[in-house]
Amino acid sequence: MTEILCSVVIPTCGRPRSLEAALRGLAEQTTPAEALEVVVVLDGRDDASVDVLRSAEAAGHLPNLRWHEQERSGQATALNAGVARATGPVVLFVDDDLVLHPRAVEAHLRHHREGRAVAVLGDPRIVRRARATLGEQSLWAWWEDFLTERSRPGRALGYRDFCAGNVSLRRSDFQAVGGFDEGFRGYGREDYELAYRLLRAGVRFLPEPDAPADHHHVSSTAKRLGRKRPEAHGDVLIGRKHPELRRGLPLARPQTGWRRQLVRLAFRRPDVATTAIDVCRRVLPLLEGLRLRRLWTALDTALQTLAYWLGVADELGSWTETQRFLRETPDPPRSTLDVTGGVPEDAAGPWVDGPCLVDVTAHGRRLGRLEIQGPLVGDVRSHLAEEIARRPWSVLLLSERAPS
Amino acid sequence: MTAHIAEVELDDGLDDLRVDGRHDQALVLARLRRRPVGAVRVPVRDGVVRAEELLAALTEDEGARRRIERELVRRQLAPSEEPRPSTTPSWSVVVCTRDRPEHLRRCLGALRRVDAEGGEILVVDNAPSDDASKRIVDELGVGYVLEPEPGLNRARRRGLDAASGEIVLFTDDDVVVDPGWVTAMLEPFAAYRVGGTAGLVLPLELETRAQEVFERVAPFSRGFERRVFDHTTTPPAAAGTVGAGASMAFRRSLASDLKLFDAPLDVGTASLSGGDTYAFYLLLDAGYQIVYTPEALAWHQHRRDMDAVRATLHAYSAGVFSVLARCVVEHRDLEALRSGLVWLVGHHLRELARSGMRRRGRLPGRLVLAELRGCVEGLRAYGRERDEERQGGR
Repeated sequence: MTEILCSVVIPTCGRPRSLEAALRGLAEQTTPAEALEVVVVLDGRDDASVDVLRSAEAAGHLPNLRWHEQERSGQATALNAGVARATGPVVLFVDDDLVLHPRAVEAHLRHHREGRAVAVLGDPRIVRRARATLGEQSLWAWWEDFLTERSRPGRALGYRDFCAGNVSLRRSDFQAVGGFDEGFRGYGREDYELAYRLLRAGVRFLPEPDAPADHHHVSSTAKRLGRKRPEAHGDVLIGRKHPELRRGLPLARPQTGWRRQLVRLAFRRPDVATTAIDVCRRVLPLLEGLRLRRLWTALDTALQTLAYWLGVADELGSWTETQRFLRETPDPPRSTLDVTGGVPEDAAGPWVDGPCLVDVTAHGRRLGRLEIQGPLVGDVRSHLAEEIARRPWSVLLLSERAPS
Repeated sequence: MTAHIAEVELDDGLDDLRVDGRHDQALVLARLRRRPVGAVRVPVRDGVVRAEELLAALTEDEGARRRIERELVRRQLAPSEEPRPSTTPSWSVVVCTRDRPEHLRRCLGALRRVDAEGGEILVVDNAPSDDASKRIVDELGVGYVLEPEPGLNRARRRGLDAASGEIVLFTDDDVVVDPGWVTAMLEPFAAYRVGGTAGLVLPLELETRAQEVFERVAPFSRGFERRVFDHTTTPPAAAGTVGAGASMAFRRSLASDLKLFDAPLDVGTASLSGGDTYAFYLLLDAGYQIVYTPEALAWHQHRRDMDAVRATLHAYSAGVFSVLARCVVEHRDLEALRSGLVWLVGHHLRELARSGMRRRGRLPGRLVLAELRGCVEGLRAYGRERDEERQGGR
């Protein structure tokens, strides 16, 4: 019997056609199907998907295909249940709307051969039509920018660079940190929170552009906006569980101008805000039809902001409470970084563990301060160099040299 | 005032520059580790550009100074080699030409000196009247494709179809590229959302008044700062501000899917120009990014006589308005309508008024009129095209 090299875990709910395509993608991998174990977790009753699974089993392309039905409990619970039933040394999480490219599993496994503690981040690339709607374009743009940014050479990775569709890691590492937190029941953020714990446990993140998957994302403006509220719930939950991360959360960013008004509306009149979102989103197709793109973008951004802060309001209740929440965070550790001869090659500091403050000095003088949203792994040296170069005070470095 | 064109590499230190004594000023391009950081005008005294004057000019140019500082800070912080993308895509350079064999020879000479590997050079010979271009192509050993029907967009399309590289770069036969041009044009494609790039184009020479006027009115240069364009920050109707056909590159499959060069535009057609602008428009409209990268450097031979410059500017106006008309009618793009009106009033009518009132620094009157006539011609060209379509059926 062939040894199982990789257990693919697919959480699914009500997307039988997508699931079928995902399974087909797995059957066409360069890695032999006998070495793959596929565990599908049905998050809620889903007869159509069970039919798909039975057909796939009968077809026999994936000899180690299993499935498990659970009561509808959310992605986190489904993924944990999947790993609990996995036997391979490596688990690969694949969303049910992803079709892996044929060499993807091979590319993932390459990094696990030496048994190092790494999480390999494959790229889920949204498949878009050449002439997509503005809503489709905006979602696609977000993903492409996110993937490009994390694969950029000279960039260190943080917990918000992780996403659980198309990622592989050792099952032992996953279990050692306790798996996903099943307190995350809405859409999103359970992967960010797991990522934080993985980083703190010393697991390195490795973006692998050679392990891509086609992401057949079907969405609508209503769905897009509908996700923001649970995302905010997730962010607050991350902040509750890990108070040291609060200042790095999106809700900690200063809100000015009309955004501030939207935030106040979300807290003071959530009912009005909800109706406003529902009404205004119907204006978007009109703006799109007239090619008023910037207006469309402005309105779409406003609605997303409003929806997000409605989520914050659900959890924290008021602006005052939110400010208190953000203030009640432990003082980040501080350290000094001397860049007289450049950022040191082996620059080590508290950024490997979590958020911290770094005083940057050179030639015996303090230049400025960096707030680093750690933990960071990867090319930290380049990352720090770039962060410093972006600050206006970095010009002070030059005053010690003769001008060229 | 005409000017001598010169380059300095700041890493080699600043010395006095010897130039020929024909001009009393020089346009000096400053580079730092090969990266263009600024171009300044400095006086030439007895055939020499003095180092102090050059330094003063660079320091006074805020943008140049800032860019130099930024580069020096980066070097201080990370003295070792900067990270390069591990894989470069395959590439094809397409040069469309029509009966300009000497220009073509010079252009191909520069292309063969680029420092990038893994690519090909293709010449599209557009409606030639003889085989002079073909003979040069054969002599220099690059790829050759014939497009018998006149039309620059048609020629580009033919080149696109014949190209095999993942990225297709376009330049014109009157352009001389820098050895680092291909590498610099390819680099931004590492970002997934980038569909096209455009490069910095400076004048190859400024020997005649006509060339100076052209450089003033319609410079190709978009500055020395890298810029990322997408439709959330730039209305696609402003695609003309992105770059020019003299130095542009696209993902080949995307260019085909979006039919970037299908419209009957540009030199050889009634619209006279605009094929590049419309391609940028379509790309931005579809949500892709276009990166303007000043690291990709090329030099353009401006027309030497005033008649030719007038004709060129006439053609540019025609192209702009033909494209805008297409955007309004076919894409129902209200932003394009607004752009057209703003441009008409803000540029054309303003120049007309300045010319009429004999303001200082005004453009030559005949030139302004040539441009205005171009606007009208562009609109009419588009109107005629629509009529033909309606009569002939698609």
